[in-house]
Amino acid sequence: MADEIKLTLSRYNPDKDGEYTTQTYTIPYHNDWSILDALNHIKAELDGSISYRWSCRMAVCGSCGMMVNGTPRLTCSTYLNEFYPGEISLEPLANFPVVRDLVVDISDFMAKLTSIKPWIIRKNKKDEVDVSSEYLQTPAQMTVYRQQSLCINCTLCYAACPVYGLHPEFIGPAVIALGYRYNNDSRDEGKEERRKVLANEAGVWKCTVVGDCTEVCPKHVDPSAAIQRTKVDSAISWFFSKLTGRGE
Amino acid sequence: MNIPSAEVTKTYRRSIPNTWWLKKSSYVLFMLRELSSVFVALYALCLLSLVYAVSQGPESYAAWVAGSQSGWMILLHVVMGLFVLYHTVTWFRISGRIFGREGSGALSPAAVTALNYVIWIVISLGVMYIILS
Amino acid sequence: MEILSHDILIVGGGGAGLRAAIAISQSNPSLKTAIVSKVYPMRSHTVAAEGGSAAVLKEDDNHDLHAYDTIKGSDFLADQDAVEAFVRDATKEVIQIERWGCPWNREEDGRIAARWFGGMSRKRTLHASDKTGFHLLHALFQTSLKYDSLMRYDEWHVSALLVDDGKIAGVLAIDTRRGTFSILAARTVILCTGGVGRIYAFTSNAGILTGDGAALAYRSGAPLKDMEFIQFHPSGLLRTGILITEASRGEGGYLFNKEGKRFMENYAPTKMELAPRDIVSRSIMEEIAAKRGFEGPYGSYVHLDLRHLGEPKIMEKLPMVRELCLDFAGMDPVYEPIPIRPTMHYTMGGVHTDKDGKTPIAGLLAAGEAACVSIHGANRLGSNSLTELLVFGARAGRTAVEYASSAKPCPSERLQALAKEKMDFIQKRYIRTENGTERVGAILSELRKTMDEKVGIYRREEGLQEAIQIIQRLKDRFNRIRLTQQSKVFNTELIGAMELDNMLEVAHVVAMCAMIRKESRGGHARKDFPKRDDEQFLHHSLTFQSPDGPRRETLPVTFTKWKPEERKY
Ligand SMILES: Cc1cc2nc3c(=O)[nH]c(=O)nc-3n(C[C@H](O)[C@H](O)[C@H](O)COP(=O)(O)OP(=O)(O)OC[C@H]3O[C@@H](n4cnc5c(N)ncnc54)[C@H](O)[C@@H]3O)c2cc1C
Repeated sequence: MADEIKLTLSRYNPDKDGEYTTQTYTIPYHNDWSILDALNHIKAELDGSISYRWSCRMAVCGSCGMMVNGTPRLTCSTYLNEFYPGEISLEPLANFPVVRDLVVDISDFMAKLTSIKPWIIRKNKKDEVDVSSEYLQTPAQMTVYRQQSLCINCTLCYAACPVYGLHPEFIGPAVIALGYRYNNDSRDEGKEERRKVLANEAGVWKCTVVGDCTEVCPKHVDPSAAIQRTKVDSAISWFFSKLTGRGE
Repeated sequence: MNIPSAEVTKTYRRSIPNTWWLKKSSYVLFMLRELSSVFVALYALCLLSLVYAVSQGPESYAAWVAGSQSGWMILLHVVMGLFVLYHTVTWFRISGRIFGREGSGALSPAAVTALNYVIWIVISLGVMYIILS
Repeated sequence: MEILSHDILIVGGGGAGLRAAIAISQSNPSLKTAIVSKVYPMRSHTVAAEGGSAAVLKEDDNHDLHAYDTIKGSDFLADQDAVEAFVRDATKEVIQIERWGCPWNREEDGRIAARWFGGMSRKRTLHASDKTGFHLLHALFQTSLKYDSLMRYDEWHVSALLVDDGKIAGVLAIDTRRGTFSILAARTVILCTGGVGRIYAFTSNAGILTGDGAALAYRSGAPLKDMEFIQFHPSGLLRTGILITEASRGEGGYLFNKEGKRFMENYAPTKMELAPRDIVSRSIMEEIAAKRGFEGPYGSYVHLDLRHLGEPKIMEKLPMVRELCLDFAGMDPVYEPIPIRPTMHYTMGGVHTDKDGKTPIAGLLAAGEAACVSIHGANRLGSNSLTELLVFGARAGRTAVEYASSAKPCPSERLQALAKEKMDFIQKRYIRTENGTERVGAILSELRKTMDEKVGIYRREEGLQEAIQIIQRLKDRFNRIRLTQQSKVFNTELIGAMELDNMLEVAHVVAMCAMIRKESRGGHARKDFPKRDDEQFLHHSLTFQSPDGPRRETLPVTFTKWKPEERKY
């Protein structure tokens, strides 16, 4: 008999019983299969009713994040052989409401993403549409924000962040990293506008430096560092605003 | 940009148990660091009381020293020492990540952390020198 | 049924859709505009583009050179007026996206840098390391967020177009979350739904690329153009077909056969590894056929060698190549050559449009990979597609603004009637399938296998005929489809069935056009007709749906300055 592996999936369907349960599937083991391959196999061959998100299957679209044995991972680039002969449990990303099976509701994340104004802000609005020449930016200026520009919005960091779990108002790691990315782009002049969102109780000061956001990030964005640097930055500017008597 | 507000479907919200922080070693370590702040504060109080005792003259200093030689006080100092050490080490690591940058022309995170240790050791040696001489 | 009214509706939130949306929001924010996308926009497959985006920016380059390279690359099937418009707009568009935050790689002096790419006679491919599509898509998406006037229907799947008497009236779409269908009414609809890659098994394309836009338009009476032209990219990772960018050769990578020879010498001695994709892919297949390829558990392959570039250069210019190799092939290109084989990559054909994005249905526009303008003709040059999204996304956006300002909305009774007809069809075909026996998965895998084997890089009359017969049989089987679940919330099985139906429709057109075109041109290579035949086939194919299957007409190619010549590199 060929080798097999067991996958236990969370199931939830508000249309049916609305109960949050699990279901176990036994599938043939292939040492080159990703967990996503296994899910696609289950869906095509065993049970068409399971729901999960996926698209690019090359770790860049950010759709297929799930809790794999309790840790947030992209399932397209996590392989069965990491767990075999052990079993695998798949749950929807933690800290988000569950829509169906392995699908979570990320609308809160999407709203927070918009709130940070993740676009180049210029004092002179005409700059934004002037196509006569590019803004100059040296490679050195680029390295300042490059790392934080690599976020694929997979939201694994939200699933790893206990602060977000306990305080859902926290704008969270990826959004702060994105704010940092634009604040540190030499082409941007929007730091003041973003300060209101970054430097308040739901912003950077909510973070207690657990550091797991950085651990789980598949693109090495290091949101934790972005958050702590933003704290330093906002503390300094708060201090100077007090010093010069100008309010926040 | 706005998104149409259709009435949405019922979601399932998983509750977070009070023991969430026992689930992962990184969470436990995080809680220990949070806890270490208590001991850092306690340590500061101890130091303050020492400074106060010194300011009150030789007898009160001697009494303070005598008091700190009880088994309990030694145990407390060992525990405080360990927590403060843990606090320091993690802080140095974090400060490396905050102030360090990858790439040329900048101090790397590891270098910043190393610098912290160097400064720490130099200051400690200085203090030791003052006390011992 | 619920009617949600708009002036302009954009179907698809990839590069083309977002660029159109921004163009509209900028030129007339009072228009009620919405993007409907079956995935969150930043998940669209534009995100996966790696190598770069071509435009004339450097002193040693000019628009005519870019146009000529594109036309020669297209094997003289591109419409030259469209190409000329494309290269002109391209320069502006790549600067515009820079101003919206795209982190193009830079020269030391701060200007945008460019790299070599296949078939380009100058260094003109701008890039953001090898994550160009990712950065471009996120820059567009994030910029689009600043327009309050723009609405979004995220994770809504468009299932039918509503066309009233030759004029677009809106679409019927299902909100995946709720599982309910609504009418999204609009005076103008822009299809930006991407390619059809998933009709093949070995492909670089994402799971969402199921040819929905092409099928939607086709069923509504709009013709598809040049569908026989499918691009196979030389470097797909074995097993998955995941793409290793052409930039790896642009930056100096070599192709080797089993004998350790840079075999491109025999096929394109001047351009070598940087010949256009159709040529390089065929060369690899020739090597494999001559037993000069390597053999392994995942079939035959050749080597793409980057080792001589060194780790620093790979990390600076090709970090994603390394990530992909480590994650999906278990090897490190810094130390080992990459095993590769051609993978289905791009759909040159698509919904027939002119250079302003208009289709023959009034108010229906298309842009991006879903459309066929055509600037790519029989073979697209690498890095022309991302630029196309920007150029023709913006053009379609502007056309939509113009059209929507004058067009009248369709009355709601009429909309309801149109939607009811479609809804009855959907109910019968996909939802009420209790008596069915066929499974989505089984039909899908047979379709994909058939396309790989019989409508692949090389095609033959018999193979194509067989493919058409198989597809017809699969279509029959689809009539007896059975879904295992009736529930509404996030029913991906239902969406999958609708996508499969679209794929069958599109695959049929691809196979049929490939059979009729008895010549070899660009990405369409017939073993039984190995030569280009300008006498008989220097025209576009236009395919209409008819009760007896695809009906093919022809359309002349537009020439301006460049006469067809032999295509040698
Ligand atoms: C791996 C890879 C690498 C590439 N690299 C390059 C490169 O370096 N340079 C280059 O120029 N080109 C490259 N290309 C090609 C280029 O990326 C694509 O042609 C381009 O991104 C297509 O963009 P698009 O906007 O047309 O569609 P996509 O980005 O594919 O978006 C399609 C959109 O349509 C939506 N949609 C589809 N169907 C429906 C429906 N029924 N209802 C609602 N929404 C729907 C989807 O949700 C999605 O938002 C690459 C392609 C691949 C696959």
